Amino acid sequence: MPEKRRIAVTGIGPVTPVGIGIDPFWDSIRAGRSGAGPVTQFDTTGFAVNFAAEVKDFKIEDFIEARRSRRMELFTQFAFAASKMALDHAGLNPSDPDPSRVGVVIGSGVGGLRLIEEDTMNLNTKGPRSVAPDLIARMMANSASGAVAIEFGFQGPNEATVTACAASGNAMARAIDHIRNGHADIVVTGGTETPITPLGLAAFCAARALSKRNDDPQHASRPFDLNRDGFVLAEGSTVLIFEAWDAAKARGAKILAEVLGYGLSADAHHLVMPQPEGVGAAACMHMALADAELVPGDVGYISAHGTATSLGDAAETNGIRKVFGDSPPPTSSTKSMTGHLLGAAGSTAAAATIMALVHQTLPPTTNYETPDPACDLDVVPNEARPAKIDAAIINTFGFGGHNASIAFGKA
Amino acid sequence: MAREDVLSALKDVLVDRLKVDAGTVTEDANLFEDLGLDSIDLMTVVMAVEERFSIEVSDEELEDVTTLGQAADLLSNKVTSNA
Repeated sequence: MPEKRRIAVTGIGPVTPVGIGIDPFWDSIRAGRSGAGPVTQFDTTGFAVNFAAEVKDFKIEDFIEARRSRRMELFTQFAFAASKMALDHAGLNPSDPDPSRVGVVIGSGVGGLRLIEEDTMNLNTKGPRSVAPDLIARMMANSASGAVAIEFGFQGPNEATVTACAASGNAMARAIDHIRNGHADIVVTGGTETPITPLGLAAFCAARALSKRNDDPQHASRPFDLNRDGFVLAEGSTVLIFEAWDAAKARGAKILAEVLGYGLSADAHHLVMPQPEGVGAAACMHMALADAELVPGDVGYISAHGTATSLGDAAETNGIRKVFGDSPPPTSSTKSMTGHLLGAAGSTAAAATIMALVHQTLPPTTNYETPDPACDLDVVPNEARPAKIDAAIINTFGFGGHNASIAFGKA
Repeated sequence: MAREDVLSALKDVLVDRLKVDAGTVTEDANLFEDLGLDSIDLMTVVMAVEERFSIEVSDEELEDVTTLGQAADLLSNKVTSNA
């Protein structure tokens, strides 16, 4: 087989409940700060759950003139802001690279849910002529990838992955392919999601997927803890700049980490429940290790999918045990702090993992009080931990049984 | 009277919803070349005014509209003939 083209991560742009921008984001992760609180975007009277992890103090005008954002639904605004911050972080002037060599792959589980809700109400109360002419353009899940390319002029491969909570994992895998195949030198990649809407919250409540700790939102997300009771719904977008290693070196970019490889698999088991033995998760991690040319002992840290559902955390533990045997590396879930950003979960975990490699510091699993024998892992409980790590993998799994793992290495 | 109301409603949508710079919104302004609207924007503007004044404008009637003043003429005529 020919040598794989090496890939660098040169920029990170988080728009998350624990911070906007890489420094506030990493400060929060390292300090173990929660982004959860009462829902402020609408009245939650009658909802079984009244809290979530919302992005605070976000104004699209800080990133683009109002006129140009008129057709950006909130999930697209998040993705645009995240992309702009990632490009800035990478020291990339968007007009410098050959535009045909820059791709965009930004995933989303759903897209513009709120707009669909609003226009469904309009349709039912005022009739078909009241539906917005730009509904389709704004709500479609690929609107974010399209808008980012339009605003920056990036003409390379452009797509959106739609694999629920694995969407940004699949996006990063596609980005790796585009660079390795020589279809692009730079790919702006990640995920975005805005599920905190009346219909979104009601639906996740109805599915009994969410934590009901309404009296204590900040301690509600408890991955791997015996008393976990579901995930905390979150919104946001994290976008990363993947860049051909030689191109990044040639322009003198600061390389944050190396993208080593990816694995993808399907549970082929159930639409929303994980395969309990973690067979699909293990296959995915195995594939990522093989693609990255790593052996299990090389991996110093796993960023778990770890959403804090009873079944999911146990199944992931089983998968990790299948791959890493009796001595798995430290494994934490940043969802204990950020909540579950669904289609943006994988790229948000990747951001924390890349910073972990940069700073040689493992992000904690907060709210960890009572170990669960079914999740027998070193979860880096409650405090960030200094560690010497050369490689790490992130897991991200989605409804539908989609699994994606991405391996990163120290720069 | 109707024309003033319609013009004001048009300006509101252009500025509030479509984020067009208020300083550029004049009667002579070409909706597409000067204000930067596309066909979906125009439909958004027309729909908002249709709803507010309970009128309906056909796609054919809109074909000849290029300036804000022409839009105000067309829509206010509808309002007047409805009255």
